[in-house]
Amino acid sequence: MTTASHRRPLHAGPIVIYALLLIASVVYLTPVLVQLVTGLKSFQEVSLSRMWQLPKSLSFESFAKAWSGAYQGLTGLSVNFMNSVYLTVPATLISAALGSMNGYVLAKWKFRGANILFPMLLFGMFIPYQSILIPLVRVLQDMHLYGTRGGLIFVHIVYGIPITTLIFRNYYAAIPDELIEASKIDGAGILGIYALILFPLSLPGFVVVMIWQFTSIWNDFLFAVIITSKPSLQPITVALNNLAGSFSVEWNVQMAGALIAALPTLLVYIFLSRYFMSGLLAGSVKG
Amino acid sequence: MSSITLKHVNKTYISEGKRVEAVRDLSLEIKDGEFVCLLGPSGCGKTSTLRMIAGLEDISGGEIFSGERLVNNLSPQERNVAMAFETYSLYTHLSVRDNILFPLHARKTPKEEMQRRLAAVVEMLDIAEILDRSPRNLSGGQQQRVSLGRAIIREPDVFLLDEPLSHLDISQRIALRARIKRLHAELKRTMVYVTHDQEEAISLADRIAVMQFAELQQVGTREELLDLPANLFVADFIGEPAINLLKWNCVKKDGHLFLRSPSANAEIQVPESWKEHLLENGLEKVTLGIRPHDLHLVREPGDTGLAGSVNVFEFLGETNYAHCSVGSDNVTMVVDTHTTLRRKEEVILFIRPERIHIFDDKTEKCISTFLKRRA
Repeated sequence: MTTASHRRPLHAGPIVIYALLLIASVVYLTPVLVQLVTGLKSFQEVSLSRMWQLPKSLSFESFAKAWSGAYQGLTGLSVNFMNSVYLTVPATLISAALGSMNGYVLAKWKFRGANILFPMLLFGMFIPYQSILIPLVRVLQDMHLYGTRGGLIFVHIVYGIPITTLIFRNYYAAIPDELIEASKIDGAGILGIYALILFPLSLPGFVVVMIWQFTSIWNDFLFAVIITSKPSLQPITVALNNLAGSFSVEWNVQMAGALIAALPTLLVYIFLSRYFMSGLLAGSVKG
Repeated sequence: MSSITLKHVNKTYISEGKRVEAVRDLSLEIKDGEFVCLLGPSGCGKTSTLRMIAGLEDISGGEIFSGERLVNNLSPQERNVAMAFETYSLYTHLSVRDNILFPLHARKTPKEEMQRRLAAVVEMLDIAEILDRSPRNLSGGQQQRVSLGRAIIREPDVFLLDEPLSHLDISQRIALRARIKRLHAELKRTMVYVTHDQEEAISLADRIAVMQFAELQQVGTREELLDLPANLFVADFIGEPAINLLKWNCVKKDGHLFLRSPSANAEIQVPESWKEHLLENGLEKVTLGIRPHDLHLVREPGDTGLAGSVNVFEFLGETNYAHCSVGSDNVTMVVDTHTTLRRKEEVILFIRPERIHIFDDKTEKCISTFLKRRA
């Protein structure tokens, strides 16, 4: 190595990358801006020609109206927002718990046929929702779950099992087998090992799975609109759609409603994304 | 407390559609309270054997007994064995204290009993200061001590140790080795210890079981393995520095039998009691084994001398190694610390003919051991 210092040539690469990133951000954020701006306007102020103008005065009326206002024969979104919570929280927790146990058995207690069962489970991920709607409705009818919140929760749990199982299986596969062997020798059984060793070690895995499940269940529209026909049971995604009435659309209320609907997943991601990344990487670090 | 008996034990794996024999027809008796090392290079089947004793691997064939009890179909939980792993395998989400208590916790031992045993283990292993720390922040030596504590607190019938020192640096290794030796003396339990390091095996074990190519080559005390090796592999694997192995000829002269160097005017007379057997088998070429420790520079009664010259002199402190040429053969000898040899110096290497080992080139069996045992 020579000690001669040479000036680092100015690279065009980073500049191009940052420019592209900036443009992409602007493109993606523009609709959000319009949404926010429109949501803060009053009904009179909303028009296509004034779409890009900022509101004259800040008004949270549209949010209030979207949240609780009786409006074109609908109740406010507050009921549906809570419906979404009652749907998403149990469905997320139960599908994560089942995925964790499946993943544990598939990763650490290899049984005869595991190599057939696991791909079959994963196959569930590749079945499009639309293709199974009619048999789904029939099955739920036979189970007396059709049109109920329980039915919708059940469907989300079942549809969540492939992805949660996959994530947990891979997470557990990275935990050294010796740890399981040590606890077997120490006298723990299949359930003891899960409860005392694997479960405490899999909190990062749970964060990943729960963010994933929370987001996809909260955002689901198709299953919700098919299974829950009663407005009082419908989650917020369906209600938001209904908010766009048949005669005229109050854009400011519509936009405010959409922001309310998007808020929980946004918050979950903002606060948990750190754990999301570290959870995805955690498996690669030996325990 | 318990002995362990392995009878014709086999282990076969299926790997990528192929049958791989990891352990073949292994029979071994480990006495109650005995310290046995399974020694061999990697891939020789020693760890598979240990894992079968632990119950972590299925036994493909044969039987394993713990005392009188057949344990083939018992799970690890049911066998009352404790194990220390190469990579410690501590539970990183638990404190040192909870790691050590885990086996008692898993078996729902009463609280007072747990505390009583914990206190004993802490004293034995000298780990009072680190009890509340996480295993993550401990040195390798400390981690392995915790792992030993987790094994000891069980008060198991048998301790199984799988290369527990192989990831430690040299000073920690020596310290922990001595501690394991002391634990064995205090606990008086059966211990089975897997290692690829002959020094560890020699310093720890009552008996050493040498394995290679999935088979048990020989079991014996360190003296037996050094003086009466069963075959070429054991002779070569055990002993530091390694045994000198020379391809020499058998020559009959004046009614005596000599081993003669093909490249130098050097020969050793075969002891009379061995002569007949060698002649009967019509061996013309054999492998001659000479331990570097059996060679010396000063003639003693009955010695034979081999003329050679020093190639390399290694000064190591307590003992020194002289690598010499005898004809085209390289012969290493051990000399004491006060002796210094120069390169190219002419020396005569003396040995008592009874100390040589003779191996059959074809079967690799040790003929001299066979004859000594028969006598």
